[in-house]
Amino acid sequence: MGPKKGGQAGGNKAKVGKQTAQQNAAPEETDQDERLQAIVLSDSYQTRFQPLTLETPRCLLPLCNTPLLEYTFEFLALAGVSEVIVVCCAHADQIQEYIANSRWSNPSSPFTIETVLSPESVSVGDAMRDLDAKGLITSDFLLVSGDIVCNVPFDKVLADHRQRRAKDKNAIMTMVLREASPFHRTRARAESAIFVLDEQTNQCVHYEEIKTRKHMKQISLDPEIFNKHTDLAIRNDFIDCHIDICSPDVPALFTENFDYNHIRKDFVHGILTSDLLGKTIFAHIVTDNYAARVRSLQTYDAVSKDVISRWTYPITPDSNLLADQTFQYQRGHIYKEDGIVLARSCRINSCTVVGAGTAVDDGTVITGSVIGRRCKIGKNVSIRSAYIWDDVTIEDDAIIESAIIANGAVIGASSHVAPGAIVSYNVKIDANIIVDGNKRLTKYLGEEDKKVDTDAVGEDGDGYVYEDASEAEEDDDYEEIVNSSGLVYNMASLNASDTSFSTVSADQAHRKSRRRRVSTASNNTIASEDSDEESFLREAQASVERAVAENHDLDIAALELSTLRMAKNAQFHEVRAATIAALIGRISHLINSNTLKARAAVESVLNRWGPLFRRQVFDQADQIDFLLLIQRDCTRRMQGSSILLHAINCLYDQDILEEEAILTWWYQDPQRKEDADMVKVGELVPRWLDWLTTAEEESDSE
Amino acid sequence: MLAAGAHISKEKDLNAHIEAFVAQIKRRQIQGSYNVALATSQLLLRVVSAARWTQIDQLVTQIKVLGKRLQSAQPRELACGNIIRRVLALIREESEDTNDSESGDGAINSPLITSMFSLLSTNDECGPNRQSQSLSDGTGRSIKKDLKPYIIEGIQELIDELKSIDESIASMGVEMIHENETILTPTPNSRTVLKFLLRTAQKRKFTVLVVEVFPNDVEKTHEFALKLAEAGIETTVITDAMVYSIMGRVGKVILGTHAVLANGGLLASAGAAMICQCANVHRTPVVVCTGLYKLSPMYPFDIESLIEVGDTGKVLEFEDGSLVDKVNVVNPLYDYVPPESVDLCITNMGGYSPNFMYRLVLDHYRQEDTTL
Repeated sequence: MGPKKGGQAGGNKAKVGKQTAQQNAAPEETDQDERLQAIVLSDSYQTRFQPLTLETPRCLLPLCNTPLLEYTFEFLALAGVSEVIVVCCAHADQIQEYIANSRWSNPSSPFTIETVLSPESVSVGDAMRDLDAKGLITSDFLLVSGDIVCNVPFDKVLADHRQRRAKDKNAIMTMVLREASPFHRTRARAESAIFVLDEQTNQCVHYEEIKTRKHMKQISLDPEIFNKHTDLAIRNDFIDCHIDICSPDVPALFTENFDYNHIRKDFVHGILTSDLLGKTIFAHIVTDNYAARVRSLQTYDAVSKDVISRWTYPITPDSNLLADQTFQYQRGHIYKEDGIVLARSCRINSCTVVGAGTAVDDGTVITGSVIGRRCKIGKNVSIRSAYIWDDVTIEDDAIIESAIIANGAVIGASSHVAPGAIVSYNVKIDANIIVDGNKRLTKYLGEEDKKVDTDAVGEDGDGYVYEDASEAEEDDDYEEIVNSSGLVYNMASLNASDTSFSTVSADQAHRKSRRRRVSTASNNTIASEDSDEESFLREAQASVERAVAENHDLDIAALELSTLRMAKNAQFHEVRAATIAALIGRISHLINSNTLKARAAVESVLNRWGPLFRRQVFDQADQIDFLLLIQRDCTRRMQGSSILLHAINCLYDQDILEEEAILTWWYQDPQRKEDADMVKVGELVPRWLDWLTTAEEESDSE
Repeated sequence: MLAAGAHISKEKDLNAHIEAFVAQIKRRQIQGSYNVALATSQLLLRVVSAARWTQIDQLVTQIKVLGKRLQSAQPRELACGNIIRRVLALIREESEDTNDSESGDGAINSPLITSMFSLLSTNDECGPNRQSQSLSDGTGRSIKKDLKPYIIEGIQELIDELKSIDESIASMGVEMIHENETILTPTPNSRTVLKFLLRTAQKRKFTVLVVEVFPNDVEKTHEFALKLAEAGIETTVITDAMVYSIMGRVGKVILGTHAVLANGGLLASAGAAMICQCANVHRTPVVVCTGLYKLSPMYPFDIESLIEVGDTGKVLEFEDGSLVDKVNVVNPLYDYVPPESVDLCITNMGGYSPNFMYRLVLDHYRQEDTTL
């Protein structure tokens, strides 16, 4: 006891002395300190929350009845940020409207807030490049996404970062990491990573993403690392919620490296494995407070539970973050708002949040759930670890387990919603229906025209089963959607596939070669400063031709093109033109040299290289432009009309061209019939269109 | 025209100030009953100086509405409500004084309750009181002109009182602590107790046992012990589990508190109730040091609605994923200590028995303000 106390007292003495010194110096320092900016990326650039995010951006989804964005802003207010820039991408209008009407736009807000539109960005990297181009960043800034929940006192983190920056200008970034054991519920299972840190300085010397569905047995480290650092810690026990303090160099580095999309697996990994840059990245390890990010349904569930059980104190429901909230805390982590009607025989068990205006009828049992506002819950309903948002109606005897029921949904009497299901906005489920755990029901139609899926929602129901567009993504999601069914299930699916470590090294080889290419490409640009559109077309065409001739990897070809596009500041139109010229040229060469027939030639080339267009053709206008370009190009070729026909067919099969775009191009676009050549080359198309429309009718009549 | 514009912008400014205050109190950026009380009184000073009213009732309503808003920002921080009630009482008193002097009839308005009988008949007295007030409404304008500086002065006095509270309590230390006495304190986060002990140490030599109060105040305990040790007081930090075994050698338990309720019960750091029970068993006197701003007119009808529940992470390490998922942890920040466990309350007005606290409440607050 004695010596221990002495030691602590001694330690404290030093600390106290330091504190007073700091306090004295504080007023002067604040004058010198630059204002702290924060960049909030409101988009996650992922589809994990679909179909919910089809209608609402992820950052406005409610977590314990409060939009996620509020938690982020609350954290920024706690951190002492004075200027916030929100980067909006999808659903920008909703986010802007929300911010404009929120208390953060009032004069009482602790920071100024500004929204920046970046509609074209499809990754964090794009958003950063956009910010760099706009020149909004003037000093070191805090980079967060709009879906974090955090109560870490930030002054210490910031002071450490600034100290390092003052010493070494190359310390460009500090990542805030929260310690947590490997299978902690709040860690996103799909995204974990290995950090190699210098024990003394917390410098991050290597970053490696763990590919969940593959077995990773090895990571490779540069031997140089061991020479430079004496004590290394290789750690996999962090919640990485992507809270970073970055210097203005970070967006600039993103601009320099076009291929960086992801802030961790591309940027951090890239910076750390590059010898040329000499930049360093540090980690700040948090052991005391809470930091997490809602990045998947599994973490949505976990963070909700953490907020309810007050790990995030003082950011808890009873803090009433929104002005009109009236939550009060009761024993057993029960939060109730004013004006709720509870029948005498209903039971509200521990860890539950109930919003204002909700009525719960006799015999109903609610455990560990969040219930929104104005919900109507009938008799003898059982709700267990479910997330029920506003205005939901649940009729008598229904059972809901570990599901998300979005605003305005109706669950019919005696229906059963199994763990893991998502019932999106305004879906209506008829009585006596069982909703499987892997189902996501939605009513959002978008561009497609779907009929009510009576198998899933019943005769009187409304809504259909949502299927994710890209299958690879779905697999990922599928893992996560079984969030609530627990770890065992997840582990099983994790171990399902197997890959040897050679892929890792192969991957790295690719990366290296990529980088080399990037640098040569940028050298080229410097050399030919006066280049115009023509030179871009020529170079891009040459690049694709080379890729085809040498049978490069598709990714590399795409990367080269985008590098060129960025370097020459070209439009997508020109990229398309160049790619088409190269590919049709190839096809025409194959036909002319009598190697293959027209159809086989088109298919062999386009099946291999068609996917290139995925990154060049986006909406319908693009598709029409694309069609015109092909048509124009075909006028120069032998057998142009059949190339055109087969190309359209092939690209239609690959889903690069959509039916609507083709029809608009054919029937409405005046440019299509500009001159005789154009008309002539299109002579075979009507036949195909006939086939298309009849096929459509047939499938309809089925 | 210009003046009106300036007024509007001033009002906006004030509103922004209030909102910022509410946000800060929610975020716990203003923490501890002293800081909250000080910030509240300073805010009220601004509000009253900016407020415009023709009748005193309007001001009272304005302050009540504001009070409700501030109180609901953090309903478990009672100091905020206490200060608002103090200011309301002050405004009422000032207006009644003016009425008295104007009507020249002071006999009706004797709010002092002197016996059990008059305590029951307070309502009757309130009647004429109100009447006389409304009768003098015709002279509202002159009242307003007269009153504003008085009210502001009153609030200023309140702020001064807050700032000097620890001093006046500390000066009573010599009477409380004997030479070579052993003192036990389980509330190391109390500034009042710290100053009390430091001041007394100038005249007396005594030993202090500081209880660690896991989990919320461990670091503060160490800082507290360090400060005492630096002042030359013999100080020992003990764990919470040791309290009972060591109680036999303790001369007095000195408590700081978060709030004092109208029945004399306390809301003190979690663990305090257990320590007071120990002290009761050993017949060790329990002395509470508290400023009057902590005295609340609330009765502990629903104790749980008064006790703040804090950060779960202080009790259990968040890293431990397997536990976090399976257990429910509650970390109450305060304990309710019943008045029977406490022997003496030392306030800046002197020492009182907990049973007498209701009387101080009546002296400092008006009954009509108890519910804001």
